[in-house]
Amino acid sequence: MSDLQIQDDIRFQRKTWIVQRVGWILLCVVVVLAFLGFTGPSELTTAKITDANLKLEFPRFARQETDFAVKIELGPGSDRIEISNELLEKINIVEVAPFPRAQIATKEFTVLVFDRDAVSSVPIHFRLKPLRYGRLHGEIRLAGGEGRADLNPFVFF
Amino acid sequence: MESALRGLFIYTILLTITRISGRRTLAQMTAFDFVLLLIISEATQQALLGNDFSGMNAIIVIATLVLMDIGLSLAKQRSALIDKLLDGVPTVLVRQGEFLEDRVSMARLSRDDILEAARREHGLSRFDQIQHAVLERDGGISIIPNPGKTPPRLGR
Repeated sequence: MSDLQIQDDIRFQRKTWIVQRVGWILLCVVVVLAFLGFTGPSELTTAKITDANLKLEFPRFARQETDFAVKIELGPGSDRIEISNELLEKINIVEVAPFPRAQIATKEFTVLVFDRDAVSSVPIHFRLKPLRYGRLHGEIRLAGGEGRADLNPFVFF
Repeated sequence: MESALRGLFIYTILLTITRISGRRTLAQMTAFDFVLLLIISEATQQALLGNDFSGMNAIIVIATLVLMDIGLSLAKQRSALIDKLLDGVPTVLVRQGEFLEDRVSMARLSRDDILEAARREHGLSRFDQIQHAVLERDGGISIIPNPGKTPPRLGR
């Protein structure tokens, strides 16, 4: 042995180098997943749910405390949507356009009533802000339940 | 609760990524690394505090980070394995004048880096004047000169 008094451990160091290189690959995977839209709102991972009377578009992945857009198209003759209160406990509605002309609170749902002419020609745009992380579960439906869709993006920490 | 979790999460992620990036990133503060450090600290600050800029949130985050640091230093003191995992081990790059090429290459270093450290630390001009070179845990390179081939030092 040499005169160098040192606590080296080349076997451990070689393992560390291997783990580091695996880590570099994982970092690449994270960046690639981000480009592909798996880490937040993206066109590539937008969910499009079409019911007979309701079309809903929302990102499959969102981030806590960061707004995401939701687009809802109502079928002809519809002017109100019901959002489950369970969902409203986990998100803030930051913006709605066009603005609803009335809100009615019921036990399980909050009903938003829109101007019929306005929503027959243009979709309703929401900006929602998730307050918690994890899978969101919430129902959006037409008044009376003639059309319904689950809004269930995964919210990252 | 969430502030403490955020602190814990970000500390762990930063520590892991820093370990993955390797020691060279720590010691060699180039212009690129400086920019990287600034950007990382800005991104980290946002993630640590979220939208809560209250004094209490700051206190919780700081307390969590300091406690993590104290906890890990105690763990390192008690366990050699944790010490190795967190801080790594020193690596001999030149032993008795022999250049250990595979180690130098895996550590993303070159013969020039060792010569640079030899010039900086001991004013050595040639490779054969180096007896040992060690990549230390903090990413710096220590040089032990070969006494037979080293000119006597002036000063000190």
